[in-house]
Amino acid sequence: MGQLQRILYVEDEPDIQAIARVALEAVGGFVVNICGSGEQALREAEGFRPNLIMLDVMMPGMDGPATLKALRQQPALAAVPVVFITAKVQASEVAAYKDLGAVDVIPKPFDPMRLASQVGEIWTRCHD
Amino acid sequence: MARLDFLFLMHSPPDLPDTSMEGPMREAVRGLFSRRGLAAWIVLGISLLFTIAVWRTLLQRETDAATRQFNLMAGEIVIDIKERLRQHEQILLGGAGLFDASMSVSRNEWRAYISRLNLSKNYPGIQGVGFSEWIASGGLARHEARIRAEGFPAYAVRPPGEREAYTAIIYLEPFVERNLAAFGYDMFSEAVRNKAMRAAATTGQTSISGKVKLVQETHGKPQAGFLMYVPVYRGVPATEEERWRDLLGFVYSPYRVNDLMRGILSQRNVDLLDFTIHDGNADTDEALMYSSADEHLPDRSNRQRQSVSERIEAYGHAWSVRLHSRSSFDARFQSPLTWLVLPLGGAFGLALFALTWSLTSRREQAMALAQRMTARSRENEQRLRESNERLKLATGFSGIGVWEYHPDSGDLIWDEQMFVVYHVAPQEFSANYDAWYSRLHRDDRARLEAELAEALAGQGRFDSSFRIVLPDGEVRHIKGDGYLAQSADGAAPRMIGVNYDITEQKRTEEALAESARQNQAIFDNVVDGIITINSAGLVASFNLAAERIFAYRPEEVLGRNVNMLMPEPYHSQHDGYLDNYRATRIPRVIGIGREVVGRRKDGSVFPLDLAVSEIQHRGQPLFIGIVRDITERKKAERMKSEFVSTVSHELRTPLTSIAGSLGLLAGGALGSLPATALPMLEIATRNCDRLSRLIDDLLDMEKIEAGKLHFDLGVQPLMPLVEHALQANQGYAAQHKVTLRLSTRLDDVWVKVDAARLGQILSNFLSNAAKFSPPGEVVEITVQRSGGSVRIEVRDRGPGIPDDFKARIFEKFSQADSSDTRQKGGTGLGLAITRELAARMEGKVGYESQAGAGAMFYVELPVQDSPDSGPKG
Repeated sequence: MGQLQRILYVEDEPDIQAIARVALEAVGGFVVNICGSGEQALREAEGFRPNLIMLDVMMPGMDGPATLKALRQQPALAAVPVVFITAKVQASEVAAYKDLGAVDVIPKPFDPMRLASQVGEIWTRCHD
Repeated sequence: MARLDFLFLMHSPPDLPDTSMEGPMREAVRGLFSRRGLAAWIVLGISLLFTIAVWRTLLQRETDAATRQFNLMAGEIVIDIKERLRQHEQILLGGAGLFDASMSVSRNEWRAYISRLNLSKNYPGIQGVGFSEWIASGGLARHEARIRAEGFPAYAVRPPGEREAYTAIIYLEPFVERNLAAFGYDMFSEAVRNKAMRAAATTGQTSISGKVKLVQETHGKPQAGFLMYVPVYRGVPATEEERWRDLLGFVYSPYRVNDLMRGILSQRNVDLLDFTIHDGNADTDEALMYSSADEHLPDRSNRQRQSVSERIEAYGHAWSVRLHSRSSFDARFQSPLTWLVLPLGGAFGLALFALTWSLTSRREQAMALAQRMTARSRENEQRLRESNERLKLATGFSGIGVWEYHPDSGDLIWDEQMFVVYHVAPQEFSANYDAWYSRLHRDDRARLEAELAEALAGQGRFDSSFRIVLPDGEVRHIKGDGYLAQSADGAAPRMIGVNYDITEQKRTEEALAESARQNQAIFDNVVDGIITINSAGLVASFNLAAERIFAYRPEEVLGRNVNMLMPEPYHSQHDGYLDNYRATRIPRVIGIGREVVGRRKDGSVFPLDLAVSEIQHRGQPLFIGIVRDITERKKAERMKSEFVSTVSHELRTPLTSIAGSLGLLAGGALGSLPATALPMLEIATRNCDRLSRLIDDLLDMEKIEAGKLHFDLGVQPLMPLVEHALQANQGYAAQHKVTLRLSTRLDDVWVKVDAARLGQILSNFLSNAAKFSPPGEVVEITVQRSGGSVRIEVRDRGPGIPDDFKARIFEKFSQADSSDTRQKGGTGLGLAITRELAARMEGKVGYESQAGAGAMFYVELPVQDSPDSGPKG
């Protein structure tokens, strides 16, 4: 198991992008690349070589699930764990996202102070 | 007999039966002895009486004639007898005179005298005439000697013996045959003769003896006899003494009575009567001297005879002669005509009787018939009168008029009530068809004429309602019934019927019809479908709107199970619901509005708002369902909900940013902040949370309403969930200075719930309770069994729920007081969501509260069997 260092965060909202960056970089100490859309993510993901990808679900254009599907088609990213960020976190929905290939779901709004540790826990869990 | 015909002629009036008809024969016989026969009997009686009277008169005449004749004959016979006796006396007197004339009379002289008399010829029946010499005592011997000397040597006075005096028959002519026996007989010795002889001697008169047996009765049939004595004296004695002194003897005659009578009556026709002669007054056989009946054939007849009694008193002796007529005598005076009168008269009487009888009985019968008919007609009249009265009363009372119509003449006969119905006075209305026709409403005339014609033509019945126009112009509705009366052949046809005013009824009918139409219009035109079903779930009615909603025609639905209008799972569950309701009478759906899903004919499903109520109809429950297709509403709701969803998502996004950045700041991730900034941050963070919760609620509600809320139901113990909820809300409660206290617990109760959602429910109650409790108060939580359920109650001592809010408490966005909202926070969605969540978990929520006395909210959940142990509760 490697270290969780590099996180790709896909979110279309600039404000949340900013918050997420602070939460992950400043609080979590991760290296973060933030993409503003699914398309951008597809372009940049492989180059960035993330350890973990965090996808917002509700995005215009390619939404989270679509982006995941597309990312998975890139062989380099096939094994990268993906976490959805979304407001809809009912158990069944979680299961549905997991079925899509995500390892977990983090609900929105998230506590920016805890976001990093949440992600860390997920990383640990999926490498058990 | 003509009489019987007459009886058969009696026939009763057509309407009433003749109940008095008896067997004619019996009637006839009875009639004979009834009063009716009286006249005939009287006539018969009279004629019979008359006949009898005539007969009796004739008889009487006969009898009178006979009597007269008889009396005459009888008298003549008596006279004859008397005459003959006198004649005989004369003869004897002659003989006595002979003795008076000569000193002595010799035998030969006597013989010559007597033979001259030619007795047998002139006086048949006389036995003889003789002389009996008086012999004083002592002279007997001399006497006998003298007579013996005359040539009768054997002569002796008989009977021998000593007596005071003797007499002896010395002469008796003709001295032959029987008379010879008398020679020398002393008649004085025999009592009866003695008496007569004495009488003669004493009086010097002729005397007759009583009945004697003559000594001449020597042979043959003996006859009664008697003797007549004429005394002979010497000289002419004057006194009795002298007479006895001078008595010489007696000239006498013996008589055999039968011979005498024969002699007397030889001239007479004695066939006609019989008579008897009795000596003296006696009627005895001893005294019987003569009975003429012995002379000839006895009279066989028993008929009444003429009879008479006479006395022959002669010569000191009396004979009673009784004469009676013989039938031959009576027959002379009997005319057969007399007796013919009886049968003739009788026949005549009977004829009269029969005639009278016939006449009177005819008359009687006629009268009786007339009487009967009168009585019957009177009876009929009475009945008719009564019937009319009844009819009049009945029809008058009920306003029914009776009419009679003669189609041939066009005449109408109306009773009182008819005039009332038509509002005319009898004198104003000429009773004929045209007059009536003119009263009909113009529009009804043709139809009525046709109906009448039809009835007359053959139908025989007329049944119609029509309008008439009253004199004042008012229109009334009339019902008319009539029928063609069966007429006897030849009689004119007539129709009889009734009319009555049905205006009121018509108005009522119209009003009812109008009302029904109105109701039907309402029923048909309501927007909502109205479906009624019976307790078996079969559709009883299906209105127009329902047709529209479900796209079924009524006939496709009526009588079928209503679950054909539901998709699964309701389709299969519905019968179960009904059964459950029938069994438990616990309404699940009744009275409550529910959103359900319906299925149209084409199979498409759609959302329905259903409200069910129950009525009792004829003792059976009937369920009325009002259904409303809420597809549009749903769409609207969905749009709203989508809107909500969209909005809430839109709201959430900036919220995330705000919360995020605030969190970072507050968390110190971006370095420390001036102390004064922290409270501000605090405020911002708190309100951010609040906003967040609002959005959560909104989203939850939306999900619930869209049916998209997923429940993760699991059977689990209840208490841990309760404790968890308490824990989770502890902080919030502390914020409001309120203590949450669990007062009772049930540890081995299992429920089937979504843990998170139950937590949500309890949090809702707990946060509300905390929110509304005054600071320092306690919120009490209890867990209890309630039948097959477990109940979690959350009690606060807050202001309670005002009455006017109670109805809306579980509604969305409802809060008692909008001013509270700002103070107390809350979205107003909490209880609505709670209710839905509980319902989804087969539970229910409720509250108890009074304004000012706090509130108690509860959630009830059905208790489940725990997986490891057996069934509980």
